[in-house]
Amino acid sequence: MSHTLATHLLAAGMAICALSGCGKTLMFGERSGLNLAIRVDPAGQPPVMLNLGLNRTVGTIVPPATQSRDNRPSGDAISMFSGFQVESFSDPVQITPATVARATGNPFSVDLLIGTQFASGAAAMAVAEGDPEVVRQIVSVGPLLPLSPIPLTSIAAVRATGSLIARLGAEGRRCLASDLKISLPDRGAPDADRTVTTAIRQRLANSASDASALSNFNAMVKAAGISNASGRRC
Amino acid sequence: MSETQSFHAPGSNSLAKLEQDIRGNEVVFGPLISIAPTNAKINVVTLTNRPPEAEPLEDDQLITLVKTSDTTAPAGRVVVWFGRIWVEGTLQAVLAHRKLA
Repeated sequence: MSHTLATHLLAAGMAICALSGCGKTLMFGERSGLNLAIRVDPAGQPPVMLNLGLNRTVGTIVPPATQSRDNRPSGDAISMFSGFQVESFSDPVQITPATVARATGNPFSVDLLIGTQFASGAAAMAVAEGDPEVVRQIVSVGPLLPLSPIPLTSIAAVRATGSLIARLGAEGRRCLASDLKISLPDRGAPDADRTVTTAIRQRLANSASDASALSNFNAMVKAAGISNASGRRC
Repeated sequence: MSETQSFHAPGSNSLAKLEQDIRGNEVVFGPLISIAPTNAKINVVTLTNRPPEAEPLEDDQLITLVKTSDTTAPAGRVVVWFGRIWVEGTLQAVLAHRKLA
């Protein structure tokens, strides 16, 4: 974190604190800066250089858990943790000297999405003490997938396949995932079944726009159910 | 693994196309939570990722999207979400509602 930015952030926080009476208020601030630099020199090597940078600052003012009558802090500070993820998506444009020279479109039309989430105070304490997996989820903002097109005519078949997946049981879903070449988490991993099931659902959604692919997927689910009933472990 | 699943959908889609895609993915994953527009003219759709053993939603449990500034749900329906999102390339007020459980 830039020291200057942090100082400004905290100074602004202190100003807010003064205005708000400086009670037990946790302040959380974020700043995201995107910098783009382009150098074009036809005689140079390479002829086009692109420098894309992200500057992100996160600052918090964390009050103590309790205060004495004379407003002196006592006890531990309020807990908090946060996570964020920067992701680019949309039209993948190949940025090459040729495409820049042609300038037929916007070669820098890369969409960036900055996801962030945080927990503080009692919520942070509760999940940190009781459920490390929830902490992992909060500090790990999930990736964005494209919303798969699912035709109206496929919904009944998708539902039937989804129902079969739900009834497979955890071991059956592991075997199905194995058949689908999905990498399996350790059996003891937190929420392993949900991880496997989510990956299977993503494959189901991706296959739903093609009747043949959906039919094949359904057949694989049924086969996994049969093999699982005969005691297969994966 | 998260109990929600987020997706991106082109802001150029018609409301009917967006609704259809969300309904299909509700069957696969779970009920809609929210739709958020981005500056890049993309809608970020967040669904519940239901538990592994939970049965898929039935047709009458799926979401309905309507263009309206009225945040009142029709009789027998409950408002799930209201806001402005990208529809055919422009920001429009949309209400999401589903059948009252």
